Amino acid sequence: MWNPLHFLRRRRRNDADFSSEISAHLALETDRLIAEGLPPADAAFEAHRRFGNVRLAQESFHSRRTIPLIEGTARHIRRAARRLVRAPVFSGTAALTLMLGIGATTAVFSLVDGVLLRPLPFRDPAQLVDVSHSLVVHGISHVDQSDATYLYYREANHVFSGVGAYRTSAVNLSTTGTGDRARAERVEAARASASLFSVLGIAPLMGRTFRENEDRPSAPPVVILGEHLWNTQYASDPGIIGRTVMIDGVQHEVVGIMPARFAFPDSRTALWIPIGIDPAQTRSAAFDFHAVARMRPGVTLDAAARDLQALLPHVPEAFPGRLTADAIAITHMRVDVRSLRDTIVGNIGRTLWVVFGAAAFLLLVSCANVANLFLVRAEERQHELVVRRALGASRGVIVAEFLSEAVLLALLGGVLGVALAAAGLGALHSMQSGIAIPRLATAGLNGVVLAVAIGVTLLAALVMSLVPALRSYGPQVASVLMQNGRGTTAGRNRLRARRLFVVVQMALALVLVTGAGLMARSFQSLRSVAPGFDPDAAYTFRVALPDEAYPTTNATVTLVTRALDAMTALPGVQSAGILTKLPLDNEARRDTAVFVEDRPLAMREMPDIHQVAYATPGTFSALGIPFLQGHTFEQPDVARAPLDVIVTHALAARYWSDAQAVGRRLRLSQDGPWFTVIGVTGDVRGTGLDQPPDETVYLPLVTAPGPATANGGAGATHWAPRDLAFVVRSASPSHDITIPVERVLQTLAPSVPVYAVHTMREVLARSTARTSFTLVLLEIASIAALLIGAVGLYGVVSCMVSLRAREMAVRTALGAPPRALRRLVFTQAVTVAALGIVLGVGAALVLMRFLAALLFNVAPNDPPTMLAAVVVMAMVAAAASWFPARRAAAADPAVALRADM
Amino acid sequence: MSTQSRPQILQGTLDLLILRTLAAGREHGQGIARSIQSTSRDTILVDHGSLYPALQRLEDRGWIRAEWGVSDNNRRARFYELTPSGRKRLVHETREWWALADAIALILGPQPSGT
Repeated sequence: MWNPLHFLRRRRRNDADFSSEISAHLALETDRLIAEGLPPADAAFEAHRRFGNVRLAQESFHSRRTIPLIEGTARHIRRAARRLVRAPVFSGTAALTLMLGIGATTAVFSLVDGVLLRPLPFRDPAQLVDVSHSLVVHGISHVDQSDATYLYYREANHVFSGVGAYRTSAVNLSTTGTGDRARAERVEAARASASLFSVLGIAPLMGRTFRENEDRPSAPPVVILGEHLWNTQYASDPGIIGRTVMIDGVQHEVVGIMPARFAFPDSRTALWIPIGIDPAQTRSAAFDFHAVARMRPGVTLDAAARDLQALLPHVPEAFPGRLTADAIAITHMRVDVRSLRDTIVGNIGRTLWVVFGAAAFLLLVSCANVANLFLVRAEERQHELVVRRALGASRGVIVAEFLSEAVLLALLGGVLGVALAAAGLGALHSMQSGIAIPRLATAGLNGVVLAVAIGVTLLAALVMSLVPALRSYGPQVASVLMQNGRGTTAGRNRLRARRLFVVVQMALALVLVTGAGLMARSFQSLRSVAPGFDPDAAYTFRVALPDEAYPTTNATVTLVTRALDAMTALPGVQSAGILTKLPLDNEARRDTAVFVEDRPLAMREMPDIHQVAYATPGTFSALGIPFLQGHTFEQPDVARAPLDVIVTHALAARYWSDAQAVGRRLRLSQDGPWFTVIGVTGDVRGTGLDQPPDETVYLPLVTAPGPATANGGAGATHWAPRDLAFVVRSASPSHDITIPVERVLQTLAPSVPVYAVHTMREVLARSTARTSFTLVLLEIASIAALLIGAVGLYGVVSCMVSLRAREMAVRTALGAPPRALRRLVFTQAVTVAALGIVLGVGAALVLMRFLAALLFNVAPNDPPTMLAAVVVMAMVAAAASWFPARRAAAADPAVALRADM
Repeated sequence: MSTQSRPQILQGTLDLLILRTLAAGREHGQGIARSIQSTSRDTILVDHGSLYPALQRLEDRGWIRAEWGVSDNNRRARFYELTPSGRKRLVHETREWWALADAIALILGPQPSGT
């Protein structure tokens, strides 16, 4: 029968209307009584008398009209606010504690939500998959797509509604001026197949995407701009469609603008140019491309992988080349179909969940602490509450009091926490490039995150208030009043709940401290790994020389030689060189099969894959990479182009053990020319400090012939890479040479942008950024948990001391030495702390397994770390209980005995 | 006073009486009270103070609706009338009342004379 509309109608009728109805009644009744013969004065009186208590009727109307709960709640909240303001220390401590817990949880959840949970911003993102291959070859375990595999899968598959290919590549985008005067900027770009856009299902903001034949190499050059680039570089000019922009020295016609949410392959991608795959000229063994496909409805990842696996052996038939059926069989090539989201998110998930776990623990610790504070408060107010209960206050009212205080505090803590989370996220966004969290841009305080924050806040309020509220049910009036009278020591059972909370806090804090300790150990062992180069005083930047401006090997080598000469001549510069792939940086990495003369391949045996990088003579001294044998390259010389190589110690050890490697020969293709090893460098951990040392072949900047081409034949007679990193070492770390060095290049090649400017120290730090990120967050969480836990223990011990003040006074009066009293208090505190520590160690042993994947050279149950965490906890616990214990012993017994409490 | 000897109205009965009175047509509060009193031959004296909260309750439930009007003797008064759901409610409550009354009568047995 309940109709919500009645509620609205009821609200319309106010108290005044009801009162005037009563007045009307009284007038009518008076009329009637007069009509019955009473004198008018008596009639009015009689009407009033018969009505009874007008005020009572009005109040009954009023309480029906308003919803008593709401009015009562408002009253409770007002009173609770007043009570909290009167207890600033309690309120402040509680709100700040909650701020830490809620802030940490909210911030980390926004990361988890934005990075891990939120679907990709494409149409039906669950259907999108990444297609790659796993294989078993030394040096490489995973390849993506070659043009041949991509084209064949795209044509022959039965499981996809579309397949797109792409390749990331930065380009030089001319921004001002034209011709030789043009200034260019290095921007992240993707080379995309025409199909990519329809596979992802995002329509352009303006214009169109690539046409089907535009992604062939022969097609006229076109470009699609990202919305952000369009906004910043071209002032959101709608007339840009149809105009041309200069990319890598070539005019490209702008055909479309993609919306900002189309952040593919990642949010840095500023523009898209056609991929340039020619079905007639494939390089089937060059796995330079990524493929993304849309599964047809109802197709599973397994089914898709099975379908492609059946196709893979037929790729060589359709596209003959170096990828032979034998090669596929020998390397155990398997098609790997993974959800696109998993591919994009990568392995950051584990880190984020670990950090989220830490934040949740911190929240639990802070809730436990605030619940404890509430218990203290309940105890302080117990006398008052009991008296009020005795005078008839309902239990509901008292529970509501605690609940409203808790809700207020939680709200305050929640607001502060969300502010803290916003600040934390802001800081994280500003250092985005360092940590390299994919999809970080989507992480923010959106509706879902705020809903979770509110939910967490309310839950915190409930937990915090429930315990003292339930306890206010417990004690019987008489027992409390008697307990607080003379002649007894206070009831210890009241301490039980608080002890429990402290045990929980200590245990949780210990888990966090252990986690932070393990990360710290891991970070330390990571940092103690010798990278193999000297990061101090070394400084690097990259340039990419456009083919159009530097069409010949000669032009490239001339520029590089002149630039290096000029740099070396600068005061303060010790050495300078070129390297195509920097250690601990993934840009421009190349891996190639290496054929070693002393290790002929058996039939059907695959050569090992090794990293290849191009270097100049000064590179090794500029990076501080020592030579174990032999010497560095000679100056690059196009005329001679000697067939020399330098290898790292790890590579030399693999093929020639400890024997002399200099003079041995290797080649980079089965029928290519032999290169002679002229030097062996020390080991360099260029892939990651937690990875084995690189097995790298260093080639001189200019070689003859160039890298093998598609069909295994030799390339151009002289070849030099154009995607280069300059490495410059200054005489001392304090000597800043960046500006003059960059000016050298700007003078020699004004149109070539300089980018990725870093010290090698920064490169090194960036490679461990994720570990240090996790470490810093866990450290913050554990320090906060330690502090909160210490405060909790201190509070409990203090409370215990004050409850037993009388007993202690009696003991002192009877001659107990202060030492004995201190020991008494201390023992109690230690019992609580020890219980927490034991529980914490147990929990840590179980939980730290989840940390294992993030650790380097440290076992998740590393005994020294565990021991250190226990010692830290014990020390904090001792400090937190020492002061109340001392106070107990120092108290004047006479005061305690006289006090009427 | 004489109210002492009058039977107390059973809880919930007032609603039924109000609904029954309004079944005859729209009426203001004082009129309802008078009507109940006179129809019961002065046996039931409605407590005016509890009449208006009861009216409000019925109005909240949607069984009656009210609007301000003018009484026979030109006084402003708030007139009540049954809604269709109030009419249904009246039928329902009347049936329940009779069922209850019969049951009580069964328990009490035949009415002794002279009471």
